[in-house]
Amino acid sequence: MSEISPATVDEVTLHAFRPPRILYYLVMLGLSGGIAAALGSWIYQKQMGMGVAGISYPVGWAVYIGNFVFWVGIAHSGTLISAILHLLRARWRTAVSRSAEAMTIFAVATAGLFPLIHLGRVWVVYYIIPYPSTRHLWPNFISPLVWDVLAVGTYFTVSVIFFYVGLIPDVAAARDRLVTQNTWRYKLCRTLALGWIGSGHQWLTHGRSFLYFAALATPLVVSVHSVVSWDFAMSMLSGWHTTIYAPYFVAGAIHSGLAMVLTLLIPMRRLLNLEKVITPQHFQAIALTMLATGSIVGYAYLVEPGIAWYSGSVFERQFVEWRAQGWFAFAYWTLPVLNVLVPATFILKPARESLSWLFAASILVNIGMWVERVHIVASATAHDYLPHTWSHYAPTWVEITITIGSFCFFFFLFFLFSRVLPPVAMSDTKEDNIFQKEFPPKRKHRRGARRIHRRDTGATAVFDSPEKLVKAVDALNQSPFDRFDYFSPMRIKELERITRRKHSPVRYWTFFGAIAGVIGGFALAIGAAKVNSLVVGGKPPVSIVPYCIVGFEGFILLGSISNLIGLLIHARLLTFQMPLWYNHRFSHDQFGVFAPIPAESVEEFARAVSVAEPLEVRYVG
Amino acid sequence: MSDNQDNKQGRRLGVLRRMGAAFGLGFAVSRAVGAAKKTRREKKHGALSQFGSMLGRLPELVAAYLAASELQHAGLDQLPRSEEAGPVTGARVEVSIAGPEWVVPGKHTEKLTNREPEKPAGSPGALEPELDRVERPRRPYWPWVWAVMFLVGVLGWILTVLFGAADRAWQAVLVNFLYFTPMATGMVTWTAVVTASRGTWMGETKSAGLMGISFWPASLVGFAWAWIGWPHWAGWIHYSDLENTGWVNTPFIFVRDAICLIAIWLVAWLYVRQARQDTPRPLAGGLILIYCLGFSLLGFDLVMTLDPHWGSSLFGGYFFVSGMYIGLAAWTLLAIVRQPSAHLTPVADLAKLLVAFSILTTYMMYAQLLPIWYENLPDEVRYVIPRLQITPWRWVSVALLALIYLGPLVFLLPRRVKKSVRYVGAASALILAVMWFERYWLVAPTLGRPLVFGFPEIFATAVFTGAFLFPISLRNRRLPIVTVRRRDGP
Repeated sequence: MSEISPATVDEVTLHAFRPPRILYYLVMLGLSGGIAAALGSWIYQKQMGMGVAGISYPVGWAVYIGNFVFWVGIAHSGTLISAILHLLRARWRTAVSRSAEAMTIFAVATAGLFPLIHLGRVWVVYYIIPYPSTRHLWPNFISPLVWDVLAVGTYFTVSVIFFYVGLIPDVAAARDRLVTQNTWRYKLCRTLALGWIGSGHQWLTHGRSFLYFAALATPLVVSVHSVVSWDFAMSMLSGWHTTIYAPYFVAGAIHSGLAMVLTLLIPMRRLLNLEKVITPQHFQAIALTMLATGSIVGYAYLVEPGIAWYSGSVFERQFVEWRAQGWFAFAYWTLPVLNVLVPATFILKPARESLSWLFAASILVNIGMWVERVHIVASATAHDYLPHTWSHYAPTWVEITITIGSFCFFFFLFFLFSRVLPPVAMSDTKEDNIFQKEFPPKRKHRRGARRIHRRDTGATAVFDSPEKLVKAVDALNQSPFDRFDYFSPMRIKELERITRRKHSPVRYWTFFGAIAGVIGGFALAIGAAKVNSLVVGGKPPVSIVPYCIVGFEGFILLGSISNLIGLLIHARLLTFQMPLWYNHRFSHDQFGVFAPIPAESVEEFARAVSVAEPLEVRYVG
Repeated sequence: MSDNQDNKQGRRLGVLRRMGAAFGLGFAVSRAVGAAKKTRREKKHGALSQFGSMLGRLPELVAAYLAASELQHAGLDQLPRSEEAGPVTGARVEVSIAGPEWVVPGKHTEKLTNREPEKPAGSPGALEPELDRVERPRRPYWPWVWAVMFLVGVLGWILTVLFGAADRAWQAVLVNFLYFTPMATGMVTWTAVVTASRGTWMGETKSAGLMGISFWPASLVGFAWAWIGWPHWAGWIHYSDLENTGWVNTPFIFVRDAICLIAIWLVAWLYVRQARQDTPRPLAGGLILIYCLGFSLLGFDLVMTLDPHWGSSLFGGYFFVSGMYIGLAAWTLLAIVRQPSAHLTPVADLAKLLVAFSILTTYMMYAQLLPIWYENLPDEVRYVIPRLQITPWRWVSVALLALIYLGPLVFLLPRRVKKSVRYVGAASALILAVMWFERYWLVAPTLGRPLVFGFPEIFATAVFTGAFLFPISLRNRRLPIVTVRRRDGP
């Protein structure tokens, strides 16, 4: 990846804050129209009853649930890029991670609407929330629908926290750039930044916390789409009940999500002038990842009907034949073409390098994956064990309007985000550029960089490069000044090595939160089952196998929440008062050290850091 | 106990005594040969020692070619040789250079010559190419140990077949084939996975992974061996009411699996050849693809079809993922054994991968279990019930859950443990040992066999272990290790 200076990263990213062109408003107006039409259709559906939608016996689940699965799937690539690739240390993720995370949140929000739209009596949706009702009725934790609520709820919460934690240093940078203009955007960024000053302590805690979020989000993303797939796989229908569904759905989800990342980023890069930050290499890396996910999807396309045929069951075999030859066959044969063969072209370098083909292919894959979801949901119910119930399904205008409206809703939120918040992970991109840097050898004495207080008075020294900062910290380590902290616009791991940095205590927060979550999850499920001890669906009231899902979601949810609490406490966030000695360029392109020393020691301090050639040394009292 | 049984047992004990004696004799001979070889170097006389030295030279001669080619690839045939310590060939060489990153052997010498003049020697941060030590391999007798293990295993296995435990003996061959083949190919495939994902952390461990390729002849022979004894374990032959005989019939199964196995090894061999030459874009993607597809097929055919009325679409996926898990544990252990110092091996990365793959394997197991448990259909639970509800297999399941599915997550969680060569080595050894029982647990309950770990299993495992480790140890003692040590400066 090409190297760009920290100042350029800020400039390019915050360029998105300039007043948009008229076209932007027109697009947003069009999208609002789509949302309004969908809202109107939904109100109409509520007034007239579910009959106005195309779902009727035996096809009880169709486009709405298909949309739900599709949107949850779109969400997954964001977590893949921000969490899984973070753990795998794939450096290319930094430029695209912010947009992908935002996409995750908006996609989960869109997905969450569909079960509500699908409900006839949406006003009783709270029945599914586990709370002790006056009738002593608890949700049945053996039901996949309850798992769904837990998984998607956890996913939304964790995604929002994850997105926000990654955003904090960047909104702080935006705040410091906008400090001269007292606009609504400055106030927003100031509030969201929670008093971030980019000190060494904050970077250490933030880095560890982010790592634990990534470690928790990675299994979460797998669990969420697995749970969604089990909505189907737990049933007894041919075409739904198969063991491969969980990994197949997860791979398909990431596949469609990556396609959506391409669909969104290729035009956004052009419109927001982000060419310097988001390069064609990023798109090539996404294309290669899609090659892998497309292969897994293709594997499932082969194995699923293969095993259905292998089983020798007459029901399974007739279903496979019907799917390939019946009235829904056109959809069935579209899937391997759009979802496997189209991304398979990425194996050729010219196909990966052509942005126009990547864009076209991403749209084709999006279409293919949407058709796949609807096909899975509607085909199995239309053709079950009893021939006299076999039926057809076609969506009505209400369903189509609401589906189009959901796309409008998603794009509306995404376009809004791209203008309101920094669309590129600035601090990560800056860190990425110094990743390969070799710092000069340093002594091993580990001193200094102790915690300082915002009200302290003392001397600051400002530098213009990370190398000089490292040199200065090294020099201070040898000097009598043993209490100081450093500031930088990005995390510099080298500094953590040479200063007396212990592991951040957020790991204990995360660990004990997660343990409490898993115990709490099992306790909730077992306790709720014990209230009435009912045998439901032939299952014993206390069934440990499905309760693992409840325990797991508790593990992730409480682990993430307590990680966030640990971060807020140990990074001294939520303190909005900025220190007097804070330099607004510390979040932009300059680096500094601050030592709380009396005025008479400033000269000595300046001598100590002079080897690093500071731009300025100042006393603030 | 009847007389007949008494006789049988007496005969078995006799066989065991004889085998024990044979093993002892073999061991004694190998030690004598080793000692004779040493004596010859020192004294250079004596007929027995001459004979011993000839025998002793055999593996050296075989390995000389391998080592020479390896040196050529590594660009190290030009390295200075120490007069006192003997030639570099056949020695373990550790080169220590102050530098911030891992350097692959191929680029190593180039880097030395390029960088050396930049700073005067002795100054802080200067790159001083120094040959730390050139020493004889510390345990030159290991190939012999594995060879003896192999021979004893073959002998013992034949005896167990002859003396009434044929079913178990053939089943043990199948189990070992299903354990060792995914392991050896998995080791190679892991290096392909890291290469394909542009990981740069492998360093010297790459060559440890590539060593898995040397199992190919044993794997093919092992498959043929299992094939010969198919009536003893092929569960599908007991069913005459099969709907899918077009797919489940003995000749077709073995022919397609043989083709599949040959294809896997062929691609792996091509990949290894490219990888050793540091070809910039080796056949990594192709190897990963064929590993997944090939071991899916082998898993479906050689494990799932043992009960042809049971089918699970995820079984192939589970089989290749767990195979990669075994391969990873073997890779980790071998990398650590070859180079047991924490700062030279990316041990933390390997430990993290072990944790990730333990979770992934658990996930694949659970994703399969949950829909089957939920539906409770007779044709599906027939696989689960013997393993979850019938003693003693249920305790095996509990042990697997504790040791290989969720265990690594718990005992490799602390950061300090992940960085310790000793702990990670112990964890991977434990995973390797328990994964053998996982393969056994996949096969034996389906065939209605009891949980017994006796001589048939031990001998078959000895054969495969010997066949796996003999070429590796032979190569290992000939292969110089070039490493670049991380140093923060003086």
